[in-house]
Amino acid sequence: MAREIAAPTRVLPRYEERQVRIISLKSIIFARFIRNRAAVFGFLVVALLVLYAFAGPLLTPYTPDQVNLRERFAPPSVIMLTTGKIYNLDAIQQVSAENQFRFGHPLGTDDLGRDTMTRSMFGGRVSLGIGFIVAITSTVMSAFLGALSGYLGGWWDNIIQRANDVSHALPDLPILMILSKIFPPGFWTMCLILLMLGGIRGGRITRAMVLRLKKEQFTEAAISSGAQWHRLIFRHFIPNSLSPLFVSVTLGAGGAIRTETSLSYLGLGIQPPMPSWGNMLSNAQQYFFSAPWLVFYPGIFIFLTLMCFNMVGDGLRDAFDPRMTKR
Amino acid sequence: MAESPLAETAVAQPAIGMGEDLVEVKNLKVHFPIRRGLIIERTLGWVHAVDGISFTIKKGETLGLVGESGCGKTTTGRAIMQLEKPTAGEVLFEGRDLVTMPKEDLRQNRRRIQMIFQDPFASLDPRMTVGGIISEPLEIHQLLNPKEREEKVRELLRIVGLNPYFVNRYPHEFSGGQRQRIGVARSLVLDPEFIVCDEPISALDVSIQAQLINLLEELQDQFGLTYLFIAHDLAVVRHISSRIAVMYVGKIMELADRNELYDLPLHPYTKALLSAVPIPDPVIEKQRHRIIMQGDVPNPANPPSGCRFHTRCPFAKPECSEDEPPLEEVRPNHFVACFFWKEISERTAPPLAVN
Repeated sequence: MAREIAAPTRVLPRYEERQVRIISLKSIIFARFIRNRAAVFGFLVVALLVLYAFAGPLLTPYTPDQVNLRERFAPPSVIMLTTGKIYNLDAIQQVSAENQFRFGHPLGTDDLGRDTMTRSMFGGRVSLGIGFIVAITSTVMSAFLGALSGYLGGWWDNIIQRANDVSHALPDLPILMILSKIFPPGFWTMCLILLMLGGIRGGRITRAMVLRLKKEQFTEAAISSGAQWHRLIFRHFIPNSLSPLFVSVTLGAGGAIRTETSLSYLGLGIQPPMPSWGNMLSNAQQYFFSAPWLVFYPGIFIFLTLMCFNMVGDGLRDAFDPRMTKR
Repeated sequence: MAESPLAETAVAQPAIGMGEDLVEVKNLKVHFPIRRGLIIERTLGWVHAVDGISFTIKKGETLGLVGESGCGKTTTGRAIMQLEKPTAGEVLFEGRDLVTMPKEDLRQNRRRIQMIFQDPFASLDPRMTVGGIISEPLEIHQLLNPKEREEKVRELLRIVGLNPYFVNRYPHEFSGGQRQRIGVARSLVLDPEFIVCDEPISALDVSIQAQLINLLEELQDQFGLTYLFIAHDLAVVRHISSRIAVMYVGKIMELADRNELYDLPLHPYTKALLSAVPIPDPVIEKQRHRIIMQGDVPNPANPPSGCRFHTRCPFAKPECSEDEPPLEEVRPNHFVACFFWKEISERTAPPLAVN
């Protein structure tokens, strides 16, 4: 009757005893980013644009505000044939009788005969610089304010959020116009103005993230292991809010370049002798049909920058998000 | 009539868990304010989540804490962990009060008290690898060097029945049961003495529940752990606990050794709870007498006067709504908070409102 039943022994799942090191998160994120082709492409293009803007001027024979009335509206051409004496007047470009060719204007020239390529390089310094600086500083500032607001709660939260509401309620353009009248126009003023607006306005994302993360069980698990506030913020809250922050930086860079463009168009941004992609574009609009390259090149630079920023942003977001990993 | 003749005889030594008291909860209260208003907040009332409970947990034992949803079980666990600030009362760990302890002392003491959380999907940081999650408490307390930490993490993964190969994986790559094992490994990494298990199995499916319960029992034997096991599954609690406390609307109704509680429940609420456990035999199931409680669990923001259970108790008398019955030791190691436990268990008290 009494059947012998073997006592159930708990069998641990079999595993191969491989020695695996705990790989650092950074190397995992890097590997994931590298695997994303669009993001790498975007990164390379942005890098090339940065190189173009910051190293390019070393290679061109022109300066951005070098006027040459004899070469107004020269169409794009890499090499210019020096037929006769017309072009020999240019002091900077020494053309000898033996050497009939000289460096032309690869992207054409504008209404004052200034070289578009050289101008777009210097304009790129301004636009990319503003884009990077404003996007990063305003994201950091707004993330900090938002995190503070969410973490402290209570009165602090109320004050910061009401300031945010007010800044959202006021229309952009009048504020920007007033600010750019108060401060003398220029690169750093531009950055400051955009930062003032963006730094207060962002932050809702981080605040919402922190409010949520503060109540998460894994936060409580960390607290119950004795974690202090800095560990909570730097090891749990920030890594968990990184992906929206990266999207915010990349979109913010585009937004900053766009705002700079529109302000320059209104004559309130970067002031004329100094080129920026924005004011090059606005200058060019009256020559849209007669000299389309003046519209095309700054436009394509802005377009490439914004698109590639977004691609890099997407790639970073995915790299930081373990749920996106394809194994 | 509240005085019981049996009460005097029962001041003897405890029968189970001969060790000394590890955790002592004295008159613990956790009240949550109900607030209204956007800028100027007004407190409209208080939710009496835990309303004056006392119990002790001895070294090496498992105290089961059962009760319906919303009766304050989890809040009790969280208050013991100091994740919730108690409104009143003491939580003594080896005689020192965790509630009034200075912050840094408490942080150091957290090494010895750990918690296993209810939801294995929410209790692991999705941005950290399994290795990072398990070794985090070691980093916090600056224990061991990185190499030893890695070794410890692997060893713990092996102990909880996971492949050490998983150290670099992320939580979302695991099933619920595996995640809960990761949570268990994390709670063990500091070599704690006391672990609060907050419904560690209620989010898992039944086959996995058994595995995890067995694992917890093995770990208890291996490391001499003390558990506070919060659950609402009576069968599981009976299996793992040495003593069981029954909670109802923020109060302990009955506290007894596990077999005593299941074989001889004295409080009408415990009886009702136990009679709700289905018996896997259709014949018995048809014949047995079930106590069906009327109404809903009272709102803890406005708990009933007197005995909390009088609104649903089939034996309630007018006195029950006036005075609150104290938790008395009526048999050795058997505490009951009911005026009429004797009459009820001798079936002399007529049930009033049995359906």
